[in-house]
Amino acid sequence: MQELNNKIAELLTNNLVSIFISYKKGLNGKIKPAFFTKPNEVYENYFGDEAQQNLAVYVHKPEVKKYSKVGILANIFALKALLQLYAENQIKDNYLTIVTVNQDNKVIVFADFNEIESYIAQHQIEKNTNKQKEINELLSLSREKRWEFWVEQLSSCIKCYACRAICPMCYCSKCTVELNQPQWISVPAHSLGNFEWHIMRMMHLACRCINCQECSRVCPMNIPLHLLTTKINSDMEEEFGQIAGMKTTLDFALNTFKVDDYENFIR
Amino acid sequence: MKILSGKIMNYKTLKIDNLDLFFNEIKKSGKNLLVPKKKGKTTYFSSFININDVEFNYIQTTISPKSALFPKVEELISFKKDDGTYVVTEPSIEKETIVFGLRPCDAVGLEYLSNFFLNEKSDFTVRLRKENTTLITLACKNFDENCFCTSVGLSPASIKGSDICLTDIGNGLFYAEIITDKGEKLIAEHSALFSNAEKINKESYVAQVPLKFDSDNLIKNIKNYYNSEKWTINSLPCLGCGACAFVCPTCTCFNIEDEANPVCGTRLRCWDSCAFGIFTLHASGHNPRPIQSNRWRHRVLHKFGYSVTNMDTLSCVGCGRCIRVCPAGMNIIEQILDLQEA
Amino acid sequence: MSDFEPKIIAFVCNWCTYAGADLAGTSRIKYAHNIRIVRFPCTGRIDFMLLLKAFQSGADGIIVSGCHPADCHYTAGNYHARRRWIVFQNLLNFLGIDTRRITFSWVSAAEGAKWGHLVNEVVDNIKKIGPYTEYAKLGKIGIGSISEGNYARIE
Ligand code: SF4
Ligand code: SF4
Ligand code: SF4
Ligand code: SF4
Ligand code: FES
Repeated sequence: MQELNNKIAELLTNNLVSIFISYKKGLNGKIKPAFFTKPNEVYENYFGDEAQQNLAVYVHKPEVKKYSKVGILANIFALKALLQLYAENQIKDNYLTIVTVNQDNKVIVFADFNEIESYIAQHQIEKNTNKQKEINELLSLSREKRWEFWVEQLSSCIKCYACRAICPMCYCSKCTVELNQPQWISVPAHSLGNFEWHIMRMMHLACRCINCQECSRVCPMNIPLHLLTTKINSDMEEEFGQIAGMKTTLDFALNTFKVDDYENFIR
Repeated sequence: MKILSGKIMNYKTLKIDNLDLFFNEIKKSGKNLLVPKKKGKTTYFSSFININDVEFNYIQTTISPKSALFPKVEELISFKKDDGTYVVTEPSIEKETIVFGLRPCDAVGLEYLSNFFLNEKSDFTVRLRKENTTLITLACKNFDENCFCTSVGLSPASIKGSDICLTDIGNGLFYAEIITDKGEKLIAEHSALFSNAEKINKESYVAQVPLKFDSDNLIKNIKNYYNSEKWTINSLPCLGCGACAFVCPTCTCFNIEDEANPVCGTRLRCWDSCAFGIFTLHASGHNPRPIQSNRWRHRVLHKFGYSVTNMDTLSCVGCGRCIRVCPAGMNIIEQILDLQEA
Repeated sequence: MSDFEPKIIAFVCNWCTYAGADLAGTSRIKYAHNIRIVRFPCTGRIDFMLLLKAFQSGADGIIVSGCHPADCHYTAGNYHARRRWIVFQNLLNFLGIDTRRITFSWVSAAEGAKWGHLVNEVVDNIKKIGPYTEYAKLGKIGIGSISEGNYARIE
């Protein structure tokens, strides 16, 4: 898209950014992330439906952080991720220039995160009813059947951690799975290790996950991780009315409480 | 690199319609038969149950068949406290396994993998598994833009590493090349299903995979590439997961984990990957490969450099799995072409 | 199943439930002996992973207990814990883990009798539903070659 290419080239030419993260077509035709450092590279820029990856994951990569000013093309999920990262104090001031293309194909350069907040508020992502249906189907099964389903799914996990690597919200420099004093998560990819890994990951992402479903997309074993992320997010919304990636200030359900939080199971 | 070939002992044909019978006979004989299956976008190897869930429509399986020799988690020893003394048991791997449907490049990959484990000190479990495993390769009719076997000295017609190689020659027939004694033995057990055949020229029945790069030139120049600036910029997309290594038929890195309490325990060998940041992290806190570009470089140079020095062979068979699976679109072919361009 | 003696692990806070259990003892209230108590400074410190570790080690049931709302020694530990329990319980249930085996409760330092009752009830209940082996068995699934299938099934 010419307007977008011009914008990226302009940002690079005027030294407003030293690197711009966008997409390009790889040798095999697959769309992949592109890191432009010079205006004359920008002709390679790809814009279109095949650009799926949530690029927000790169803003905390050490090699990217070396560039003092980073530009990024953000789709709606990347915007939500960036907003959540900002709320979690993970983005330095004046580090990012965030660009998006709206539904009318207009290029928008955000002045600050408040603008992103209102942009997201106006561009609600429709709830995926299919996923909700899948979840309800699972919930309507007996507990034993649900257990069988998840044992079968999670047993196949090979612990490649692609789901963690692709996730913009998984930024800990030392993940719990890498700690061994004490060892919370069993390292081998047997079913026990896999259950521990996925339960821990979901607990750490509850109300931080912006449900971009990248983890599900990249899993080599085709494990339906989106069911877990969608479930935990809708739980958080139902129980506490809080959703990640909506506000510039931290709105993290597990960091706060209400005296009258409702439950019906504590004796 | 010259085209690698083995010595063929015998030629046969097998009616494709008889595969079902063949599989069921194997199953009945109590052996474990691994066949490709599909779940969503993933093709993987799993035990044969029914011909209907065997997948035939794949360029290459998502996951390599290496688990047959080198599973994602395996027990090396286990111990148990019994009457105050500890009893240690080594695992027994007796069940004969037959892998059906791996590709010619995979057979070479598994050969590399077992050579690696059996090289200096023969690894106990890999040796047992290797002795008990028969590989029935399916020559490729199709390829995609990520296949590059021909660039690493192989081809869809190569039979190296296979015990039996099947090629679809039309008219509902598989042409079977029987390469090893293990292959002979298996065919003999099911001889009623196989008919004798003459040697034919396979070339016209298999995919013609175009050359992507010149590996002789790559091997010759590989030392000059270590300090190339291209590693950094090219590896920016790489996220440091283990996907590429875990799907690769020749990646052999592992980690040993003890899971034990005072009463019983096991020592487990698990897959590991050089792409993980903590893979090379020392106890002192020093990390000789501190950034992702170092790790990406290590992966590529291992495949095309270090293994040539150490084992006199490339350790990439061009199956393209790492390219297909990478969540960030990293492409080993692109990297090599870019290095060679300079 | 009548001779089945369940193993119950109780994770309790130091200031209320532990003191409550102590009171049950000093008041000579008799209750089921199937319980092993692990003391924590506060329910806010009871990591969800500990519950999973208990199941892994063969617990048939778990009790998690602390100060009543508004009574936490550290003001709000139990309010935070309560939110975490809500999420955790939903997640475990979604995964098909048997949440009937986890009992959450508030037991104050003065409620020795309540503690005794609670333990008895939990033990009776777990005796009825039987031993929990599903979760502990997970550690055996997925080891070895793909002979068991990459997608393991439990027998
Ligand atoms: S990407 Fe899939 S296979 Fe890899 S660790 Fe995550 S769930 Fe497991
Ligand atoms: S959907 Fe997956 S990748 Fe996306 S934020 Fe949530 S956990 Fe991370
Ligand atoms: S190359 Fe791709 S698959 Fe390999 S570590 Fe990097 S991101 Fe993961
Ligand atoms: S490096 Fe990639 S192409 Fe080469 S053998 Fe491994 S998975 Fe296949
Ligand atoms: S001290 Fe008892 S719950 Fe916090």
